[in-house]
Amino acid sequence: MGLYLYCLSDELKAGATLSVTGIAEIAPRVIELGAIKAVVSDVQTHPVRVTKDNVIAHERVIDCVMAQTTPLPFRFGSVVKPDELQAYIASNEDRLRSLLDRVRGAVEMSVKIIWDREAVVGERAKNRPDDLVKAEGAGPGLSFLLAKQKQMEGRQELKIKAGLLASWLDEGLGRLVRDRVVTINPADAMVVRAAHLVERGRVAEYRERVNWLSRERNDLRFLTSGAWPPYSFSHLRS
Amino acid sequence: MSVTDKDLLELETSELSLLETLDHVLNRGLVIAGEITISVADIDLIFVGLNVLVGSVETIEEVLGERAESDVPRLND
Repeated sequence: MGLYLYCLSDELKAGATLSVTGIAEIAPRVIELGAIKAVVSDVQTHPVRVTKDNVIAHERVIDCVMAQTTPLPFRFGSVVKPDELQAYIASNEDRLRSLLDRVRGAVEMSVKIIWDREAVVGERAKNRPDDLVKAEGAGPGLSFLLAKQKQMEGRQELKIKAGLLASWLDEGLGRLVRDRVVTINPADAMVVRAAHLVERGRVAEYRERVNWLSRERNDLRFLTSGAWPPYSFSHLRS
Repeated sequence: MSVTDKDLLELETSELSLLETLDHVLNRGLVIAGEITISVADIDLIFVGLNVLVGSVETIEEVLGERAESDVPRLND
C-alpha cells in the first residue's frame, strides 16, 4: 500500500476531501506536510496501470484542485510511502515553495508547431541547384564529401529556421507569457513545442493572439491546448 | 516503431486531444526520483503510439523493448 500523488499546494486545507474520484475510484484527500499540502489517494496496487480511466482520473483530480488554486502536479504514476513523501517535502520545501510562487494564479498553455519538413527541405534544394552542379563529374570521394557537406548545411539551415520560428512565436506573444519552456526539434515534424505560463485572467487574450499568429502562417499547422495544470513548470532543477 | 511526418500531419482532432493529455500527464510534472513505475502491460496500443509522437523516442523504445522481454513490463523513470 502507498500514496498515489496528484499534486502539491500551499493553499488547500489539510483534511479536506475533493468532490471527485481519483485513481481506482478512490476519493483523494489532502494531507499536511508543513506549509505544503499534498493531494493523495491510498492505493493498494503498484505499479499503476496506464489505462484511459486512470489517466483521466489523474487529470480529473488535478483539474478539481485547479478550480481552487494552481498546484504543482505530479507526473502520472507517482506512488510513495508516507515517510518518503515527507522526506521529499522536507528536503525540497524552499524550492517547492518557490515553484508554487512561480505558478501562482497562472495556467499552462501549449502551442505545438508542425511544419511540413519535406517541403522545407525541398524548398532549400530548389534554391540551391548549384550543389548538384558541383557534384557532377566529381570522383566518389569528392561526391561523398560534397553530399556530406550538403547534408550538414541542410541540418544547420533547418536548425536556424526552427529557431527563427520559435523566436517569432515568442515575440508575437510578448508579455502575455509569464514564463515559457520551449523545445525546438528541427529534425521532427513537430518542430516547436512551447509551454507557456499565462495569468488566468489573460487566457482569452492569449488564445486570441495565438489564433492571430496562426493565421499569419498558413504553411504551418498549430496544435494549441490548455488551460493545463503547470506540468511543464513543475520540476525541480538539480 | 516509426512515425512519419505524414502520420503526424494526418492526426484527427480527437486523437490530438488525447495526445495532448498523455503528453502532459505522462511526460511532465514533479517526479520523486525512482518512484514512478507504471505498468504498460494492458495499455491500448494507441496510447503507446500517441505517446511516441510527443514523448522521447528513447523512452518509447525502452517501453517496447521491455514489453518484449517481460510479461509485466515497467517503465522506470
